[in-house]
Parts: sequence; structure tokens; C-alpha cells
Amino acid sequence: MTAMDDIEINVTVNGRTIKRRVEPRLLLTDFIRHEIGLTGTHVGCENGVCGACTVLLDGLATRACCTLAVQADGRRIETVESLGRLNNLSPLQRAFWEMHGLQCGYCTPGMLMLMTELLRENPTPDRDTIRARLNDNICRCTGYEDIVNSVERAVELMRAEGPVR
Amino acid sequence: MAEAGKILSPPAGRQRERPDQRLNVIGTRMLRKEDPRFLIGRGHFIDDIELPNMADAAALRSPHAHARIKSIDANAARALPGVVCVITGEEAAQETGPLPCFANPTVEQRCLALGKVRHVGEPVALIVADSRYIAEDAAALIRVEYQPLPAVSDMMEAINSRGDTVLHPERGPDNIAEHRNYTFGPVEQEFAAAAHVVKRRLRWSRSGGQPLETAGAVASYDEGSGKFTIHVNGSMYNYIGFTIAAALKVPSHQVNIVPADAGGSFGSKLFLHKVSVLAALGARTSGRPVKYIEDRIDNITASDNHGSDRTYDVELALDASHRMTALRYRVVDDYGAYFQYGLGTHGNGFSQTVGPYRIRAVGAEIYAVFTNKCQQGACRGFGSEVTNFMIERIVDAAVEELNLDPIAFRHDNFIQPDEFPYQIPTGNLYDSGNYPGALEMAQQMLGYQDWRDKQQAARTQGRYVGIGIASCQEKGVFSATEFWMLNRSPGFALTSSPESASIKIDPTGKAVISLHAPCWGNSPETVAAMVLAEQLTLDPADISITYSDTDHGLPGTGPGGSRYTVMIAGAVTGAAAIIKEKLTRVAGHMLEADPRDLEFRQGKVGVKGAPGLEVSIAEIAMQAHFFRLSLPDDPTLTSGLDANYTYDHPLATLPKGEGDFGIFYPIMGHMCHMPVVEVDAETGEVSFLDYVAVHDCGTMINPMTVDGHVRGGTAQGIGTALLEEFRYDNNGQLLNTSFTDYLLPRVGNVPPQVRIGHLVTPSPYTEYGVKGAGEGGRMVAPPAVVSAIEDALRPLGVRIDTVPVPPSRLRALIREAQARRSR
Amino acid sequence: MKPPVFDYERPPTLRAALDALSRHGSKAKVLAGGHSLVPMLNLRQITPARLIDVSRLTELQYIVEEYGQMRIGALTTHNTLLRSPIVAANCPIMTEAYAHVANHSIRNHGTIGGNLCHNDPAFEMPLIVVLTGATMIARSARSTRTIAADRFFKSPYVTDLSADEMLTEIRIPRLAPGHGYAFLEISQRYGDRPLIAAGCLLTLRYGSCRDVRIGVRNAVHNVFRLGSAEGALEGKSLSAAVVDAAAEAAAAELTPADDLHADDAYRRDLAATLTRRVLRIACARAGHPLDG
Repeated sequence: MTAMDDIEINVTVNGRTIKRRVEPRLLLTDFIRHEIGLTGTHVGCENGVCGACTVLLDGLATRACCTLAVQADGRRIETVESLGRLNNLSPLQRAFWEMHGLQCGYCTPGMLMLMTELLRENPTPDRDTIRARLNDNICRCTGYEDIVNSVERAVELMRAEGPVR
Repeated sequence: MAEAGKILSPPAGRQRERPDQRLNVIGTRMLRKEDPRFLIGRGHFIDDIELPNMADAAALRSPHAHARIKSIDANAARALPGVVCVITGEEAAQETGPLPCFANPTVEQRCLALGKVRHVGEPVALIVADSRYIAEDAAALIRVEYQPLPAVSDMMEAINSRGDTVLHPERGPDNIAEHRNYTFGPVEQEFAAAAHVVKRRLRWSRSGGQPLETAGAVASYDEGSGKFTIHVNGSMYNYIGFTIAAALKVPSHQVNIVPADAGGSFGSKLFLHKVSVLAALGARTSGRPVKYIEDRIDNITASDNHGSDRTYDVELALDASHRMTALRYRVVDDYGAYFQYGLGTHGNGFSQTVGPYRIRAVGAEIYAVFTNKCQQGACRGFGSEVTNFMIERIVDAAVEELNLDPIAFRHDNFIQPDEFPYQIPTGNLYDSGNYPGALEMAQQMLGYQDWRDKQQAARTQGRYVGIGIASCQEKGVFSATEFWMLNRSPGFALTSSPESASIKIDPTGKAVISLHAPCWGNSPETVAAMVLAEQLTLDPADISITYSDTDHGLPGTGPGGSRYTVMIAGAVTGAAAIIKEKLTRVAGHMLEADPRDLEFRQGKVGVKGAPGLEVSIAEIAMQAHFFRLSLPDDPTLTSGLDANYTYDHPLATLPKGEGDFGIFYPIMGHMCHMPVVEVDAETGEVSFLDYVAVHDCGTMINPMTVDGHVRGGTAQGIGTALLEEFRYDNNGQLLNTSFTDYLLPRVGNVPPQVRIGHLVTPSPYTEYGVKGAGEGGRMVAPPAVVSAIEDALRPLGVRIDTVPVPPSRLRALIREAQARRSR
Repeated sequence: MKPPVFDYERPPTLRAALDALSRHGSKAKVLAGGHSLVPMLNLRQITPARLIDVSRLTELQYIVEEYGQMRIGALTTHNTLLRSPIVAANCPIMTEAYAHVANHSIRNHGTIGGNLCHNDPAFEMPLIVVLTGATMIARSARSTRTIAADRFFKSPYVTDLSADEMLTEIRIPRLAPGHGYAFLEISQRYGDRPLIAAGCLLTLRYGSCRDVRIGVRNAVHNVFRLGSAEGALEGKSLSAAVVDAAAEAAAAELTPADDLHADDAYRRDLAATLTRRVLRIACARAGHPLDG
């Protein structure tokens, strides 16, 4: 079988519009990491189980390893790099720092994006709601409790400072 | 022969920093220095590395568990556009030697299977291409002609298997990698004199660390110098990195190994020889830098780091007063296809083989067998978590059979707080501890009696609620003797297991600490900065941490075996002492004061009792760097402000001959876990109603990060107890090769809260009295959880002797118990 | 784990999609949410020559309440259905089951049509549409077909659709007011593949069960409506003994189902237990709780 030519896609990544030609089979994870060079989105399992690759696609939590780059054509991608910078961390990022919500950091971008969606939908989730949503993603280091505590802390910070970006 | 009991003349030790001093930074919940980069997605993980003209590699994996390789036709693969080269096992064997192996006699393992494949997933060829996509396309085009051989998958069958089922015929006529007998203390006499003997057969199934990030390497080869640069997310490069060079058949100074952040390890990234050699081989052959990252299937099938896979027949001897006197076991351990660490995981267990108890004698018969599975490596606990399971299960068995109280029985058998340092029958030493205190604390925190009352009430409603108890040891700081002391003849009998720190203070007073081992998520930067900040009264914000490659590295054994915090504390303290001495000398000149009259206070060095007479460390550093001629002439005072320090094991001795391994793992932490579970007897599902975890890891540098390890380790232990198992069928086919079927715990699988208690018995031997904390949770949670389930199902008489115990297995046990009852 | 090579098109309308299917037929795969398809591509379990991306066809994204039935466009996402008050009012067993379908992130993109057409024996929605007596509308470039749900699912991963057909709509008949329903599932990790799932619908008339529908999904076999369990209940007045008889019948009726995660004995055992439990809940919801 011969492959067709690459397909041109237009995507908005963290607010910047990007045009690229990609193979149909290129995974969104590889597009983000290697085509665009944003290596914050990580790959854990490549079959949709662990959620380390979670990004927001048109605001929806999405497993980038289960998505083809061509499916993102015309859509808006947000990755962990959109949340904050070293001298300007978002309340969610600061909360994870304060509450020891990470150890090796590999699952962290996926967790942050998953929780960004939750907090936009519901700025004051209770602990059970946080845990129910957190069930989507796997962490091998923390045992989860400090991640739940981090999201609760983020809720407090956002109440004081304003909604998550 | 080592006599068990309190050591009357304890070794002196080299502790400089006493635990009972007033501390400003150590002991605080300082926020981590590692976090900012990870929070913004700027970690330095292995797959983040992009080198110019870099190619990607994939491995062709064997579909057979055991087969001869008759031929490999890679022509179609090589012809595929975008493929740079394909390397077969035969070709690799011309360019590389065997991979490193600690067993003696060694067991030969190659980076690519040579002549035959010994497990499903073993790499058979390496494909280097413009992308991983193309490399995988090419892998599908490679034609391998295999001659299948009979596979052995059952460990008991492996003991008796012969002929074509033998994996390593050059080693002998069978699949027995080792068969050893050990006697520590008067085992036979104690069993002969015993008032009671309790027996169990126990099964600990094969699971693995399975961090979220797989193993990988990015290598380049400089044709101009003949030197390799290998980026890898493994450890031990500044310890035994030279063996990678040996495998690549180049002198060791022609290989520079560069660390990356590791996305978790749990032991599995202890020494990544295979991926390092494969990437380097690919680079040299192809002429381009090569990235080889395991995908999840590569990692599950061929990580070289599956955990222990054991069947125990264990007996416990008790006297008429219900004191445990001796322990005797026969264990068969399925090592899979290779034997890289020899019997290390059993030696590890010998460090704490009596648990926290005053057992006087231990007898062990160990079978290590080869089967057609991925080999064992390191998995959080390194075999001692299984020893803990064995001990606590037989303790629970004794409690049940003799109708005793589980708390009182443990309490009466504990080594008491006034018996330390304590020597156990294998010769190892326990440095300090308070086991009754931990048990008491756990009971208090749990509200033990309240839960017993609730359990009673639940039983009347037909609900199955159980309280588990496990009191276990967490060894810390291994000695290198562990790697070879169980070998028939030692082989390379190394005895150093050091850790180094390199510290420089720049002219403006900012510090850079270079570590010589990687970050696994275990907070090394935070620990190092906190210790240095404490030592020099620096602001931790003025300290940054880097990681040395092998070109610039000093000896560093790295994280593992719950050693790293202890060793970093020692190395940083040692280096800081040198810098402190220089700072006070120069400050003395600047202040015209005797260095002995000076103290460190809040980033300054000043005269004791004279608040105005002080200079800042920044000012001293400026002097030290640039103003040599302004200071008195003194050949011992050189410009600059830096120190390297290599900290050796704080307390280790050589093995003393048969039956006495010397002191090889003495920094002994302790845990007591009490889970409360409810079992749905109809479905076999287990849910957590409460969970208390008391940990003694001596002085805590940072209680926040200790708590993180406790919860993470406990979660992993729950996975081991309820979810995780590599399932091989009778033909050696691995049935669960992805995360869909190898089940890691999710938040719904762990207790909503693990309530943590800290008991502190500082070590007399380490700086500040720190002990290890990294492995503890996983080392105690499995027996604790199983104990709780058994307690819940006590009305039905269910015994649990196997982990994991997923719902289907638990329900089967319940069904059988109910059938027994109704007969 | 990277996909093999394939061609790709994204037809702008349903008509265009059906034309593409008729041209490429069995060599093509329809791409909807992609969260079942792309992992299979990553594992190279399938090697289609072409993907036809229908995920943007908004004309197939709808939930419409009509007299006597609810019509759902095949490309409606799981989370849309999970949150829909129309679904909750018309088919509460679907809402209850939806809490167990995959996880939130996957439900953002997975579609009910994709789920039903994939017919993974662990999926819950095939069971729900069979129990509710739904009909499936399948269209090709040339024709439209109506297929009853219990004839749609042929065997694991195989449906009645031919290579040039697409599922476009699911029609769920309105269930009698005050009907009883329940859905339960057992899995080792919440949100992951179930070991076994069971669902039940029934109505009660003067204390007797009518129109009883009980089914299980056991992750190994096709959708299973348990005829003998239903027979043990139909027309009977309720008691613990009747429920037990139905549970035993359920367990006996199953075809042996062993897999990596649970053996046949467990699945039979759980079929009985879940039958008992869903019946209990369904009866309570129908206004007639069982005693004891």
C-alpha cells in the first residue's frame, strides 16, 4: 500500500496558530512533543490507560496518545506549557508544589491538564468529586493522596485569587 | 557463626552530626527544589533529548519463549525508505560483549539475543530509522527463522527440567541457577525442642516496579575521538559505568554516560545496561546519534527488572511460652531467563530475615531457577519485601493456630528498645529501633479497640470487616558485599558502596552541589540543599543542584536500597565540613579573629557573643576567590571555595565465613501498618475503611517527602497485594503485555486517607541519625493488607497464602471455605 | 507502539462519508472518537488501508425525545449522553451504566456509535441497547436498514453492519413509567474493563413481574440476555426465593468464560450475585422492595 501525501493541518497550540504537514498516522503526542517541541506532555503507555499524555482539545481532557494529529486540525490544543512559567506559576501549579503533589514529575502534566478541565467546569469540587475525576490518570509515585490535597489547595487559592487559567 | 542478641561492644561508627541537636532546616517540610521544572513541563526526561541528525531505534521482539535463531533476513527491512541500518544478534556480538552480570559464575546475556531467544519479548534485532514509526514498519519486514524449543514456565518443573528446556546449557545440565543451603544459629536443635511448629506454603507472584516512564537511552559516537556519549535514565553510571564500556569493547574513558531525570524507577532503572549498549551500538553502526526508548510492551516483556517470584515452604518453631525461637524455609525463586544480580535479592532478605523479632536461628534452602521469562532485577524492596511477607504470614499463622492475640504475640516477641545495636543470626546488625512503640502508636492512631468493637457489630450484620497488622523492617544502606556474598565463589568481590558530593561556592556566595547519581523522584536536590543549608546556614534558594556525568563524576552508587538520603547526608556533610573550615579560616583573617571563636549564623560567619562582628558568606567567598594576596601567605590556603567528598558506607564489615555475613545492611527502619478493610464476600472485592501507617525512618530530613514515600510505597504494596501480576502461560507467553492488563492501582484502589505516624529512633551511625524511607511502604503493605482480609474472613476460615489476591481468587477461596463449612 | 501507514480522509457530510465507505468498504475503518481504534492501531492489531474520519459530522450528534421513543445520533459523545437530562428521564438505566463506561477523558471523545460498532465484550452500552429493545439505523450510500439491537451484535467485535454501512442512529423505545431498572458492574479498577456487568429492566403489575429483561456482559462473550432467568421471573410475584431461582438460572445459562482476569467459576458465581442484586434494586425502584 502506498501512503498518501502528508496532510496539512492548522492547529492552535497554547494560543499560537501553527500550520504543518503531517502523516495521517502521526499521533498527537508525537506532534506536540517532536513536531512542535513541547516536551511537557509525556508518554506512558500509548494505549490510553495511564493519562500521562492528557492535553485539552477544545477544552476537553484528551488522551493525546489515542488521537491522531490530523484529528486536531482546526482545533485548539492546550498543554501544560500554557499554565504558567517559573516566575508566574498558576494557582494549580503552586498548589501542587505546596502540597507535594508530585515526586518524579512524569504524570504531573497530565494531572494538571485533567484538573484544569475539572476546575473550569466546577471551581469548588469536593474531595469525592476530585477523586472520581482523578481516577482517570495513573500516578506510580505519590499514592494519590497528595494530588487530591493539591487540588483542594488549588480550590482555596483560586477562591482567593480568581479562577484557574 | 553469628550469635543473635544485643551487641555488647557496639562498633564505634563515624557519626559527626548528632541527631539530638537544634536544627533549623533539617526536619522542616521545605517545598521541593525539583518541582518547578516538572510543574511547567520542563523536566529533562530521556525522550526530551533531541540531537541533530538523531535517528530512532526499535527492537524486534521475539514471539517465542524459547527457540534457536536459525536465520535472520533483514533485506526487506533494510530496503525500506527511511531505515538507516538493521543490526542482528550475530552482528552485535562482533561489536559488543556480554552485558554485565553480578552472579558468579556469570550467566551470559547479550543486548540482542545470540543464537537463541530465551523469553518472549527478548530483543532479536535493532532497527535504526528516521523515526520510530519507520523502525516499527521495518521490524515487521524482518524474517526470522526460529526453531522452537520447549519452554519451561512453571518454577517447580524448572527444577527438574532437562535437555532442550535448559536455557543455559553451557552452565550445566539443568535450569537450576543456584541451589544453596544456609544455617544461621542452632536451627535443628530449636526445631527439635519446639513446643509448637507452624507451617505454611506461601506464594509471592511476579510483579514489577513499572514506573510510568520506560527505560531509554540516547547515544552518539564521535568518530573523531572514538568516544561515546550515552544519555540514559538509569543509575550506577558513576559506580560501575565502566562495565558499559567493557560491553562496548572500548576503554572506559571512551564512554561518557550522562544522566537524565527518571520518571520513576522503583528499582527498575538501577542499572540500564541493555538500553545503553543498544543505543550506543546503533550510534556507532549508523553514524548518527540514536535514541532507543522502550515502548510499554518492550518494558513489560523485557525490562530486565521483574520482581521476585517465589514459593516458600516455611516453618516456625515456638517454645512453650509462645516465643518464636527458629525459622526455617525452603524457597524456590523463578529468576526468568538471566541472573544479573545473582542471589542478591535473597542476600538482601538475610539482612532482616528475623523481622523485628528475637528469633535465634534461621535455616534457608534456596533454589534459584531459570525459566523462559524476563529476568528479575530490582523491585522496591529487592527481595526483602517478600521476606517480610513470609515472616508476617507465619506470625499470623501462629496467632491463628495457637489462638493468641496478634498484638500481644508480636509485642512479646519483639526485640526490645534496650537491646540495640542488635545482631541477628546472619551477622547483620540492627542499629536502633522501638518496635513496641511503633505497634502502640499504630494502635492508638487507629483506635484499635474501637475498630474491634465495630468489627463485632459488623459481623452481627453479616458484614466482613477486618483489621490487619504487620510489623516489618525496612533495611537501609546496602553494602556491596550483598552483590556477591551468596555467590559460590565471590567473583568480583567489591566492597565499596560510596556516595559523593561536589560542592562549590562561587564568588557571590551561591552554592552548586553536583550529585553523582540521578533523580528518580526521590527528592535528592531537596535533601542535598537542606543538608548544605543546615551546615552553612545558607538560604536553600541560594543553592542549585546539578548531576555529573561520568567524565566529571566521582564515585556514586546511587538511589536504591533505601540508601540515598543517608548517603547524601553523609557526602554533603563531609564536603560542607571542608568548606566550613576554609570559610572560618578566611573569615578569621577578615575579622582578625581566631577561627575557633567563630560561628555560622544566618548566612554569615561571626564572632561568638559579638553580634556586630561578622562577614557574610558572600563576602568571604569573594575574598577566597579573588584576593589570595590579601590573605596571609600559607601554602595550605589556596584560592577558591569548593570541596569534593566521598562518603563510604557508615557501618559495614566483611563477611566472616560460613553463616556470618558480617554487617551489610545495618541502618534499620521499621514500619507498623494497620489497614481496616471490608470484603464483599459475594464478589471478592476489597475496600478500605481506614489505614494507619507508622514508620520509623530515624531522623527525617524532610517529613513531607517521607510522607510522600510512605503513601506511594503503600499504594504500590496494595497493587502487589491485590492487582499486579505478570501472567505467563504454560508456553511462556506473557498474557498481559500492556497497561490494559497489567493493573497499576488507581486512586479508587487506595484508601481515601493513609494516616501516617512517625516514630523516630535515630541511627547512631549516620549523619543526623537519618535512616532509609524509600521502600518501606511497599515492604509492609502486602502482608498488612492480606492480614486484614484474612481477619475479615475469619468467620469463614479463609486463609490467604498468595499474592496478589484479586476478586476472582478471593471469591474462590471464600467459595471453598463455605463449601468446607457446609460439609 | 506506533500506527502502521494508512490513508485518511475527513468527509464533510454523512453523504460523503457513505460514498467513501462504498468506495473503500472493507479496506477502510470509520474513525469516530478514536479511543478504541487508535490504541488498536498503536498495537498494530489492525492495519486498515484508510481511515474515514466522521467525528465532525454534527448531523449525527443529537438526542431527541419523541413520542414513544428517544433517538440518539450515533456520533453523540458518551459524556453528552451521561449528562443529558433527556436520557436520564427516558432511559435511566443508560445514565446509570454510563457512570461505568471507560473514564471521563475517554468519554469526552468516545461516541455511542463507535462503542456499539466495536462491540468489545467488556463494553456496557451493547448490553443497555439490547435490554432496552433498541433499534439501530444503519445507512449505506444506497439504503437504510433498521436492525433490532438483539440482532445487531453478532459476536465479540462483530456486528451486523456490512463494510459499506455506518450506524447513524439508535432508537430507544420509551419504557413504561415507574419501571424498575438497575445496572451493576464489577471491575478490578473502577473505570476500567469490567469483569462482569449486569443490567435489569422490569415492570410490576399487581405485584407480578412483567417484561423482565436481564442481561450480562462478561468481557468474553457477546451480549447475553438471560432467557431462563427472565423465564423464572416473568409473571411471578416477587419473593427472595423467586429471585434466587432467577439467579441460579442466570449462572447456569452462561457459556464458559475464562480470561486472564477471572475464570469461569467466578463469572458464573458473579452472574448469580449480580442478578440477585440488580433484581433487588430494580424491584425497589419499581415500587416493590423485596423483604429481607
